[in-house]
Amino acid sequence: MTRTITIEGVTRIEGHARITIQLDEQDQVRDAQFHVTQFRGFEKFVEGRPMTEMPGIMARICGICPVSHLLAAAKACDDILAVRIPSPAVKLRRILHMAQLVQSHALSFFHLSSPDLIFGMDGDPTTRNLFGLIRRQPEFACDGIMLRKFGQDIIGLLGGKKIHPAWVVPGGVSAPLAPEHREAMLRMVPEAYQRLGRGLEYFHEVEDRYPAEVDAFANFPTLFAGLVQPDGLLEHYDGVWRFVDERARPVAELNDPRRYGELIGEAVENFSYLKFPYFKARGYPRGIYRVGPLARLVVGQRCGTPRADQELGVFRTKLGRAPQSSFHYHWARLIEILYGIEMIARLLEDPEILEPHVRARARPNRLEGVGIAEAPRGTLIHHYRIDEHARMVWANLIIATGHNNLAMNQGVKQAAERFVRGKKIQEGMLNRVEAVIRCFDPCLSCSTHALGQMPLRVELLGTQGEVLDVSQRP
Amino acid sequence: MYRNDLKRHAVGGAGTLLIGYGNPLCGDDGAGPAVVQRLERLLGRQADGAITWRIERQPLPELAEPISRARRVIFIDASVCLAPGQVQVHRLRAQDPEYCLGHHLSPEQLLALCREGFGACPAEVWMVAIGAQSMALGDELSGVVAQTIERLCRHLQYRLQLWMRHESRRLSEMEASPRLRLTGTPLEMDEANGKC
Repeated sequence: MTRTITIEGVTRIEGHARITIQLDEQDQVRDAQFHVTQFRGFEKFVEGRPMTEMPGIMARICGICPVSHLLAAAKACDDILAVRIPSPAVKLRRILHMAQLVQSHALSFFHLSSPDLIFGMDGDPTTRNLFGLIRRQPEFACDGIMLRKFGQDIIGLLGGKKIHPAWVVPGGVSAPLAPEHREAMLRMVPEAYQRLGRGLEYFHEVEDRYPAEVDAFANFPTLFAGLVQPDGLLEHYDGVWRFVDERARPVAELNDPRRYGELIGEAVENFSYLKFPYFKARGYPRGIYRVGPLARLVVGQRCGTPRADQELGVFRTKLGRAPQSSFHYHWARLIEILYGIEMIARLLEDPEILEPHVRARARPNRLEGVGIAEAPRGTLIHHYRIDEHARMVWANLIIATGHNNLAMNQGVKQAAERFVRGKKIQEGMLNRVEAVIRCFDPCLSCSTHALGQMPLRVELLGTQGEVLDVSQRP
Repeated sequence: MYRNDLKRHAVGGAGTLLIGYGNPLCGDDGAGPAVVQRLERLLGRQADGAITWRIERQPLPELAEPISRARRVIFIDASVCLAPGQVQVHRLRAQDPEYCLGHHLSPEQLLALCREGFGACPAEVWMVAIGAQSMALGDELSGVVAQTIERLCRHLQYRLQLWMRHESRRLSEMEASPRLRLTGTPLEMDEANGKC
């Protein structure tokens, strides 16, 4: 008799999803699927709106990474305007982007994932959360809070508000940087280094406690994709979109974002609203690839900032040039926080950062544009078409989490095969299956997030749909 | 290296922190931010160094740090549990969450974060809740809420000025008179009634 286990409400991720695990007659995992159960419809309801509204509307897709959507939308509009953005505006956009990278990664690692690492995968789920963390390791938890504050404060100083800033506009940014804001941001940098340094040190204390999870958390060869500078340095705002294989050897490269459709296709499955992008040359589903912090560190030769490069050296010495286990997303995320702080400091020290000319103005010169950027979770693509009155007629968004969809599904199955067995399901088994998803830090709703409150209900069903066992998380 | 024995639990810092939260694009949900903006204009330079103003969409964990440094914190928020235009003031205390964080972090949970994480809590924390009429999309307050805010701001201005004058002696009129009804206004302070 086959059975299905449903994890209804995957916790500590951004958005709403469930996992189903199908067991065979011998209680061995036959299949597992990750279902994204929400539908947003942004691509449809922007049709008919003025193109200039896109950055403001698209930023509302997400409350965690609105800056990425803001930038990808603005870049798509830049492409339609066919303007060259003033150099200070590009640097200001990059600072904003790095601030978001820091706050988003800090949220993912310190608040969402570290409870698993500190309390253990089998820890009591009622304390395996931020408040439990604060009681067990108050300084560690506060470091996470304050790193997020660092990023959010910079976004607020640049964009006027911390969530959904409207400062990035087609052609650049709406206002130059005030000297007092530059000084205020620079003053925050030393503390951010200090807090991240402690967090990294603590991560190194606990990471080796999880060899089984390293072995079974989406640990398989795939392609990796990410933006990279032409000389191989880590890149989040521009550059070329490069695919490398499981040994970090380049397999494809895209210089013109408008041709992204030559590299990837999008498949649809009937069990999820999230599409399944795949690398066309390998077909579906063999064209599985991963994006995000781990992928970017594999695709790039080095970071290009001293502290991050030093930590990347430690990472590669221990794990090799292209680690295959998605468990290592956590460490990659910490390296990128370090890189983000360094880049913010470097860009703020740039002599032209206070220049007043920060916007190029033009009317649309094309009817189609593509904007691409590296969101915290991976490559984000916005593709727009407009009519002769600059009204939107079509939009296609490929969100970072979508790129990872095939890998997440395969990873869920791998973890389920390793950890879920027997007639009585234990919470720790299922938490491991969820923890695989948390490695990817998916942003599903993209505008809501949950930090562990959503109820987890697991049902064992018989072939006739009868409930054999129920486990309910409070 | 981390210590896991950080349990200072000090009480009170300096100054008053006003946090108005809500979404100004959702009608009366913007009441909290509107009160803070209005008071900032009313008090102007008088408040320098004594009062810190913050406008937020919602309580977030990173607010725990500035809250832990304040002596007094006043949250101002719209409420759907009160009649439109009604104002309720009550004192808040840190609340140990039974489970954990969700999409919404309550002010009481924030105070618990202050206490457990940053080792300090303000000496007094107040919630000023304003009954909302409509939270539909739009950046305008309803008439009844706009009128309430005008009256509320005058009262709060008076109290903040009192506090500023007496700050050096650490006097608090609210502490001396926790139950107080101000005649002719919808402002009501009710320490016992912690929740709507």
